[in-house]
Amino acid sequence: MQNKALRKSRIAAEESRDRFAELYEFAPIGYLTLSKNGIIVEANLMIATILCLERRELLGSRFTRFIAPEDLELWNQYRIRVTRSINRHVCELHLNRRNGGGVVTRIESIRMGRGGSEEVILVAVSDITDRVRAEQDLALTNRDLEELRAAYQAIADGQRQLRRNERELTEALEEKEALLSEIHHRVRNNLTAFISLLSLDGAQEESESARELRKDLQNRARSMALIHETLYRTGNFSNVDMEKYLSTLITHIAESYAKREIRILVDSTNVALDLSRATTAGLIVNELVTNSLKYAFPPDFDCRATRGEPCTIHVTFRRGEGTCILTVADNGIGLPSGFDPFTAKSLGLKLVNFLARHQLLAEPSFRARRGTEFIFRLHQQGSAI
Amino acid sequence: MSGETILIVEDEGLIALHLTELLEKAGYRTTGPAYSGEMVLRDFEKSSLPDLILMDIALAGRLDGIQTARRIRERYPIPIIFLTAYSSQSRIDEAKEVSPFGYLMKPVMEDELFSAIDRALAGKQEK
Repeated sequence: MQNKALRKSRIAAEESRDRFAELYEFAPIGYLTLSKNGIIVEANLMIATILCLERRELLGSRFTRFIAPEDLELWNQYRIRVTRSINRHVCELHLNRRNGGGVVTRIESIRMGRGGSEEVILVAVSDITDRVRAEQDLALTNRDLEELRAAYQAIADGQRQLRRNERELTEALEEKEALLSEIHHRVRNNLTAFISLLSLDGAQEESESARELRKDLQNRARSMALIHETLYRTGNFSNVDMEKYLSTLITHIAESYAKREIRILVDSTNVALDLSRATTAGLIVNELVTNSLKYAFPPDFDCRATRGEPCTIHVTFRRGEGTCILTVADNGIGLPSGFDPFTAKSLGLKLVNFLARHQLLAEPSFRARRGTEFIFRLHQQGSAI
Repeated sequence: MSGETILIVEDEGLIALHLTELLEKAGYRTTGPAYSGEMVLRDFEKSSLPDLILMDIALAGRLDGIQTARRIRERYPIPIIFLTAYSSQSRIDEAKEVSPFGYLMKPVMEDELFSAIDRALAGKQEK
């Protein structure tokens, strides 16, 4: 009876041992038992699976053989802590697999005595590679997000700065335009005052030539004043609309010299010049139209009888291929035979010749057919548009 | 004064014409007028050199009068007198540094102009 009970008890114990052995072998965690010297004395199937080895290759080997070199020092420190304590200790270790790959593991160890015999270390090994990788990915994603946020912030700051700069630039530009407008207005007023000064001759008697000289000077100054007025009125300070400018200029000259019915036509569509060249062109037109009004139509010259049309002065400013052509023509009596306008000593023609070449950068030419025609071909240089 | 040649470098046509007439009436020969520094340097390569240069500080083109003068003086011992309508003190100091014959304010007074020319030409002969 006693034997029977003992047998039954032994069978139960054996069954229990087998159940625990199965649990040990097929646990989802790797288990190792290390001797005091770090030799693997027991290992379950999972640890063999984790390291891609056969279990027999583990048994009898030093555990350090499977630890990545960079973690050996960490393991040594860890093992000392475990052997000197009765508590569980945890660390993370990189283990090497046989196939050359690595695995990140969570190690949990405790020192155990075995029935008074030599102490061992029980080690539970969990493969946390996926978790670590996920954590690393998450960290990278977080870093990318942080960089993205910083970049977005920088863009937003940049946009704010850009808007601020734009506002400041607009204000500066408006201020500059207002100042420019004021300057043109003042220059025009000063020139107008100068023109008035020339008229203040008091009660003194004046010769015909002095009167002519004064009128010529006034018209030259007026041609300059009108440029500034045109710029001031149009609000465009970089280019002068030549049609507007020349039309006004011609009207003033005609009023100044109107002696008889002379038609003055201006055709200058789509031509604009910078301030310097527009002023020069204005002075040239002023001189030539004045000359035509003064000398081309003497009282005994009958335009209709001689030319078959009314007395006409025609100013054209046309755009050509990469150039602008200014012509001032009249159908009057023409220049005296042998008269070369480009070597003439008169101030007016000297001005025309000099200014055309030096400032307008234009080669002047002259044609005497049915009156007088001056042609100026402006080179592309400059801002004729 | 013995008919020395003076090069006028001035981009404002009316002023250039005025200076030309003034100098020619006084017996000088004039060349130019050139309207840019580049034009002056280009012409120096192919024509005879003037005895003196009258040069505006503000010129058309990329080079201003002071830059042009610097380049001229690196290669040619020609006295230069600057003309200027308005300039900051630093620009005037710069001009003086490049040319000891200094500068004249526009509009130029005739006696000042001729005195400056006499001094510059005398200085050149002494050298």
